[in-house]
Amino acid sequence: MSDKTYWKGIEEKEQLEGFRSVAQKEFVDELPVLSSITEPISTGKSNRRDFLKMLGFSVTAAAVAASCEMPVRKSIPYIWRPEEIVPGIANYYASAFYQGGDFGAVLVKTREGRPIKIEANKQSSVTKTGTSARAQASVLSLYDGARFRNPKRAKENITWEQADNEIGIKLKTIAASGGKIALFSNTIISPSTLSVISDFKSAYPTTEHIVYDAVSYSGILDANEKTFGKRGIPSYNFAKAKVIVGVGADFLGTWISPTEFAGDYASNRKVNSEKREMSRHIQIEAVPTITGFKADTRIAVKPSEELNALIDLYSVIVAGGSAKNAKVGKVAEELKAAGAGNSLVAVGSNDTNAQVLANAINQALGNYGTTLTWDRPYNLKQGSDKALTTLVEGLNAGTYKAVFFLDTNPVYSSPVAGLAEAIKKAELSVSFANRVDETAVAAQYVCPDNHWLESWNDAEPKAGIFNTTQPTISKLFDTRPVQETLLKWAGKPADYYEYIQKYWEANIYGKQSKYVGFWAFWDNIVHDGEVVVAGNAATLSFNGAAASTAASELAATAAGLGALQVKFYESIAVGDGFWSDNPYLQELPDPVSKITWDNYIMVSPVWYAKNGYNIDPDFKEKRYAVGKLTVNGKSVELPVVGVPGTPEGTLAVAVGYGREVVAHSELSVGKNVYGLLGKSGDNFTNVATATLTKTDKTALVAITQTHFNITLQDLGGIKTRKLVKETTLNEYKKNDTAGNEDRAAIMEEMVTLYYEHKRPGHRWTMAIDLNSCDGCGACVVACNIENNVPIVGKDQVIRAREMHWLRIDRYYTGTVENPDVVFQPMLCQHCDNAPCENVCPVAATNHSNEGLNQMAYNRCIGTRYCANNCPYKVRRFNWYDYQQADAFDKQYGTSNDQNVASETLGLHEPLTRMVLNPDVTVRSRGVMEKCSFCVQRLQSAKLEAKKENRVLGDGEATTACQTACATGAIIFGDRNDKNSEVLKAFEDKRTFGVIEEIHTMPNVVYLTQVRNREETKQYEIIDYYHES
Amino acid sequence: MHAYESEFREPLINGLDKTYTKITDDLVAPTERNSTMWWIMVLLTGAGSLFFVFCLAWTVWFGIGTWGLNKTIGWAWDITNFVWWIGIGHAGTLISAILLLFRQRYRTGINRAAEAMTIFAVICAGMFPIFHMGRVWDAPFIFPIPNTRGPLWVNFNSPLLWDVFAISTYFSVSLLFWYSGLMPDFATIRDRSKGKLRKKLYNIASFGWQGSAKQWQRFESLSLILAGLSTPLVLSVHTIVSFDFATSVIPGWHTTIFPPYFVAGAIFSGFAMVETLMLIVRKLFNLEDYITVNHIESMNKIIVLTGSIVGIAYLTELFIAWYSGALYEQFAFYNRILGKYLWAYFIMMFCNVVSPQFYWFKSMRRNLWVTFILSIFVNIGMWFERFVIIVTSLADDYLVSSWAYFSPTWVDLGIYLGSISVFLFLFLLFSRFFPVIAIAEVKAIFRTSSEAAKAERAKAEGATHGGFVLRGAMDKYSK
Repeated sequence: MSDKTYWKGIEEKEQLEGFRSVAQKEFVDELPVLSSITEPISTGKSNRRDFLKMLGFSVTAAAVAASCEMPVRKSIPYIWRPEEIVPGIANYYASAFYQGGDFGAVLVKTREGRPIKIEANKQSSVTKTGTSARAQASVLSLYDGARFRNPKRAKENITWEQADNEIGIKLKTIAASGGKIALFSNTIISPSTLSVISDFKSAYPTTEHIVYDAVSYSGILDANEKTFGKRGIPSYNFAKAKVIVGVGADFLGTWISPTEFAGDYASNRKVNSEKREMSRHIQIEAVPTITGFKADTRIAVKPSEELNALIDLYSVIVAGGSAKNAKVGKVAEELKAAGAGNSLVAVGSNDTNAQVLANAINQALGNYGTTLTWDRPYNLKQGSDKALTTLVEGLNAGTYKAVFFLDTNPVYSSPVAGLAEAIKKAELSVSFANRVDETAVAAQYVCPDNHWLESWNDAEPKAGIFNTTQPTISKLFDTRPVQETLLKWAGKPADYYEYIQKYWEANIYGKQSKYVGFWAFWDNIVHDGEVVVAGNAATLSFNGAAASTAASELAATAAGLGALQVKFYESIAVGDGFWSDNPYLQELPDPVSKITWDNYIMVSPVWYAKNGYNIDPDFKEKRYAVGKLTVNGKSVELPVVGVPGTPEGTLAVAVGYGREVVAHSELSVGKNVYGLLGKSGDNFTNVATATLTKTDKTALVAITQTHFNITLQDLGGIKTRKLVKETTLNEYKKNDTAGNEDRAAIMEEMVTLYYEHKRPGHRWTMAIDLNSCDGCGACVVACNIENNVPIVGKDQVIRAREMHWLRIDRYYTGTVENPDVVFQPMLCQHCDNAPCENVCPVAATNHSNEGLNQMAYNRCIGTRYCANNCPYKVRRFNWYDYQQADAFDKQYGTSNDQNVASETLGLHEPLTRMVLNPDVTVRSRGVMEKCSFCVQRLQSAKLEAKKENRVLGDGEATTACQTACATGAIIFGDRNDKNSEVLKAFEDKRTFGVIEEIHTMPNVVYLTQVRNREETKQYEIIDYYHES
Repeated sequence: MHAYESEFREPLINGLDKTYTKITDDLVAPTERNSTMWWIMVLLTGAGSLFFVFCLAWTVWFGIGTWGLNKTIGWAWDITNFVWWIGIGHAGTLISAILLLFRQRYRTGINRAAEAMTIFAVICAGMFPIFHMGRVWDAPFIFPIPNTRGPLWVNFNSPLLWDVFAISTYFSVSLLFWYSGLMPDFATIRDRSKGKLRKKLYNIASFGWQGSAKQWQRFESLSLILAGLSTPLVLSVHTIVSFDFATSVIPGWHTTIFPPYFVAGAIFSGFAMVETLMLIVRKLFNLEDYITVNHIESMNKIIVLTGSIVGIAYLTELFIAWYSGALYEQFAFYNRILGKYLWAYFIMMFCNVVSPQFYWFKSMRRNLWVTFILSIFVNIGMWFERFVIIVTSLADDYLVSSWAYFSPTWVDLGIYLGSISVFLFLFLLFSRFFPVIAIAEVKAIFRTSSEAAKAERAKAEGATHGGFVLRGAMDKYSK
């Protein structure tokens, strides 16, 4: 390199004075605009006209700027950037979710310090495969406008000091007088919290910790106490069982630990050409559930017959007798034939006698020690039904002077009447609820707990499995962890974080040997989210003495039930009512009935038609007749809905609805039926004799999937549409294209005259195994949260305008009385030959070279032609400004649709909008939207690989639905990757595309459902509403 | 230069007292007198038009959600109205272009009003594709104009884009044709005007028409050229509109029969609307001599022809659905007839296929009350035809899980009725300020086809029946 200098002219070479001054200026000549301002008019080059021009311009500009109201957008930059936070990059923190009785080991995704999404913690030994819909939706409750922002006395806001002082004084007085203090809570699985409670007890020895679960598991707990001497629930291992019999236990949907069970259950039911084996599942049930619909054989019986079936199983398997019901007798023979320890009988009843029989049956089948083990019993359900009666009686009698409510809402969920009045008799009543509920309103004080995403905590879902919960955001409001509140009142140092560490150091650290040094242990555990230490003994000695009396008592219970029986059940979405103020879950269609935003009385469709309830058979209005359900003199009026698979003589109603004290009236939907629960011994029973009378009233029900009334033969092919395919295991063993035989012919006809695009690079493909999908809906909510999918509210759903990008279609086959059901997740099929793409006049939807069907929202003008031309009907139009995405402000509320959800549900509030994923555009009114295959996640995975200069590995790019799915039904990846899972699935013999015969060439394929049973049912989609 | 016309042929201008002056007086009269009835109707339809604007504003302000549409049914009354209006707009061009080329003299009595009707119907039709957009403020995206977004081009594969071209072309040519025909007549009104302003305005409107031989020669040439240009448009516009459906994959839409079927349907509904309007206009403005029963009968013949074509098309669809063996296609038509929208299908069938069959009888063809009622029936039927095609096909397509039902809201109704008001309002303005019958063209056939001329000729030839009386002559002939 030479250091020659080049010069452009003499001036530069000589560095003359004039050159230097000019060279330093950006503009060589004076700017004429500036001169007119800076120079006096008389002396400058500018003249009168320039002045007038300037004046005119500036006045106009000022007028325009001043008259247009510019939106004020507050953005505050980091002054000191937090160490871990890089704007635009997501962080994941391991945590544990336990809310409303539902447990999940999770990763919390945060962006710029905000938790926005829940993912499964794949390292968990409990729920590694996925998450529940409720866990997904729980991020919204963090930003819920209904949260308490500070402590309250009655309706008055107070400070923590005031609360501590006033409550402290009252507590001391009560303690001094020897009055009892009730700490009433849901099941607590946090060992540190339990330790805090015992510390509190030592400060106030009159304290009683009363545990009550709104959806009761007392029966199973009491039965285990009777037969094993231990009040607990053993570990159920569905993965090991070859024959599974469920009796009214919805273990895939709501029972004990459904996310874990669904993963285990599905793992043993995956088939392919090499492995043509799967477990056999028989479900005996009254209320149709997803578990029953996934079963290989479903026996639909009345609630009383559920109990009789159990007695039959008992008499065949244990007592050596015979079965009254031949079908059940066959089930018993199958169980026996499975061999010792190869089966599992799960019973959902809350009747202690039923559970005693279940234990005896499992014991006789040798299942304890293999499919049922006592080494890691569940801590998830510990409540006792007696507790609630004790509390109400104690409060009324004045023995409980003070009552605290932790994580529970008994005023809403109590079957015992008069709790709200009884609370008023206490000298002190405090609710620790963090958002408004019935109990908080009834209590004198509200001392709001943090949201779980704001707190440190721990959990022990199963014995010896410990999880940590870490805060992912600084607390939003002036709330305080309940543990700190209790410690403070007990006069102990109130730092719960330190308390947990101390507890773990003393009680858990010593039980493991992997990490040396507590801090190494602690840091790693917080990072991983879980530690597993030695559990209990695997077996307990069984005492079957109670079984024979249990059988006769149970027979009497069953005989005592009348011809028409009602069974109350927990809905998969809103649970025991804890979630009924969460719009994401309210809008999640029930997998069985496809109804949102309501509870209703499920009846047999045959009975329904016979009794004149069929008032709107074409679903023109989605109108249903309202029936009056009476149980023990108490009655409730609800719409009556015919659901195939409900046995005649059975009525089923979900608890968890009809919350009255919620933030928005739109969330107060359905009716509260807890008051109708009956009692059997000490336990509440969800089965009762009932009457149902038709009223003159009708109601609109927000149902998302309706079948119409076409029953005249198969004309028009309504019954022979092959939208879903299924076969039986026997057929599949013989032929791995069973059920899918027609595909070869369809593929042969897939010819085109046109040039086919080469697709190098990635080729994103999704395969959905219908055999694994249980329809639970976790994917739907995960998709909503990930993609900012608007919630539209009941009125809009009635108008068939739900916005879900991913829905689960439900198809019935077989008879109306006891159909088979196939759940089919339906999302944009990303067709390679997409009908939507060529009809858009402005090319707003187009195809990427990676096979994605893309939407350019900014370009969309909203002709809706693409949605019309989509054979899968997966495109969703923004009828209103559902999320305040454009300049039009809140105008919908006054239009002719009154109940657009976003306004009432707060999606226009800056607080609630914090839940939005910043990677996904919030769509404005008038544009079309649809599934994008989570393109933002694909891009970030690709970028990550690119930064590390490597090829993207299989399984790195995931979609939100895929990671949420506990059964692994959704397989996603790059089909051009020779080693990818999705290519394997894509080339499986069970694979088919939905209506691919119209040559859409979808990039989403489905795998045939296989049922493990002898008989082959001819495939037909039935219409169920019209049998006359 | 006048061609000889048989005396047995029914005259196109009735009245033995007719002279050129009388024709001018008769036809210009509506523009020269005030009418209370006219004012009442203008105020009524004006109010209706304002309600139309209100409903559109409501839609734009609140969103398309104010309509009854849903996730499954993305088009309903909006596109139904669009196709309906476009169909109505078909008769004008057909009458002015194709009948001109075929030298059908009877067109002269009705072509002006029919063309006006076309223009107004197309204006109404055009509203719907614009305002059915979710983001109407971005409507300019549909024009292939150079831009800074790439440039980002429109999608030439989309039938909606073809619509944009087809309809704007059709509108421009129709407007030109209509207006060029108006020029000599504006000059006639101008020449009779007393007020200075009126004279000036009509002079401007007539582009200073002087009536010189050169001008007439150019006028005739222009008419023929425009007629030649519009003839393919008569076929192309509705063909392209039908492509909106025919090129899709939805059973019930995806049908190759659509282009001829839509064109026949359009002519059918267009003539019906011409009749509805003409029957009122001839009565209100005393134009019975110029729009004769003969005219009405000719149009009724076209209605029975096109109505039957449409009927055959319906049956062909059903046959093909059965014959194809295609699962979804069969269901679409099965559902159309027996599904939840069967009432709409049967209204359509009755109005479009059954009701025009009355016109096989001459007495029915010539009965004005029957004609008026049936013309309304046909318009109702054709609206339902589009509704049936659009809504029933969308409501129940491939995936049973997504089936839905459409119910209109008051906004849907308001926009539809509002568009009819706009149409009538514009037509009333037209009838008051423009000559509703092409004066110059009527005069051109006076010598050949008028009753007066025929009578005169008969007299000159020494006819025994002493002047031409049609009915008597016809009766004699037939005996």
